[in-house]
Amino acid sequence: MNECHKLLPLIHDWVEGCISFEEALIVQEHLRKCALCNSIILEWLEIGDEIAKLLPINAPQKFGETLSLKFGEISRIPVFELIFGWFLAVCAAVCFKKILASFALLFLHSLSNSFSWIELTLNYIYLIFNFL
Amino acid sequence: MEDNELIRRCLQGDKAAFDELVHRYRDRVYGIALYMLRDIELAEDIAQEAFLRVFQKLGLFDQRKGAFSKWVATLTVRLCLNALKKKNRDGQLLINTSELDGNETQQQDFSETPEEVWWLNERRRIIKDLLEILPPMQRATLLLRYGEDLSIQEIAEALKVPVGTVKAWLFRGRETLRRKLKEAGVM
Ligand SMILES: [Zn+2]
Repeated sequence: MNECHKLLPLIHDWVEGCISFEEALIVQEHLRKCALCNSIILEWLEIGDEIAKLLPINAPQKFGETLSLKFGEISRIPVFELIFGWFLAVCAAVCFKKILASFALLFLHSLSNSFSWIELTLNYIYLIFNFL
Repeated sequence: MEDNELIRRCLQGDKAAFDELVHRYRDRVYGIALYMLRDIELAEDIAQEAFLRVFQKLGLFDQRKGAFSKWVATLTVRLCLNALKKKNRDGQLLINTSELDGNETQQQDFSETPEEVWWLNERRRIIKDLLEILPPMQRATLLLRYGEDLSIQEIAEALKVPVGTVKAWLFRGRETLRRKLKEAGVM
């Protein structure tokens, strides 16, 4: 009985056909002399058959209809979302450029206090960036 | 028409082919979802979600790796496990399994006596009840192995766990069912 209890997981693996050759020999040797384990195997097989019979279960009547609606939603081309997304992206790019240009200008401006020609050039650059 | 032919047409944008695939597998997919989730509304929702995923991922389906039915079942079980994690519904028995009895498409063998039929039905009812109290992973492996005929290797790949873990879940699940059926006197 104790031996049966220890061997049961291995016997189950043997029933499932995923066991090494050496382990299979141990299981087969035990099964040759143990009626209890043989009956347990039959019960396992019956349970497997019963679970197989549990499926399928009839889906609700409106299953197909609801699925078609959901299907329509995922297949729709999101025109509005696409336009709005592009608009946001362009706004973000313009703002980012302006911010970047202002920072660069501030930094370089602080270095170029004594050189008015550099200041002039930077102002031009700032203007160009802003324009873009 | 073969599944693979339907899939090919589906990939070419044939909606009717997709509808046929849904028609073929919706009861199996819904059944798996219902046994996994124990919630009629959520099961319907997840079964539909499974078909939408099937449609979106159909290009990734590789018939050399196994049948379409197994691929769909695997996808459904994964969605169910995610839904269970998200909603933390496990442990709540939201439906009585007797509600399912009228829905099933089960065949009855008329060569059996009324007593035998009663006994078989009783056993089936208890198995359904017991399936629902098993931990989700054991339930998933039992449904995939015996309900959908996936191999242990296939289940391990589907659930992304080692083969040894699947073997242990299967053994524990089936052994629990056997013991409880013995206790109930129907085995
Ligand atoms: Zn034994």
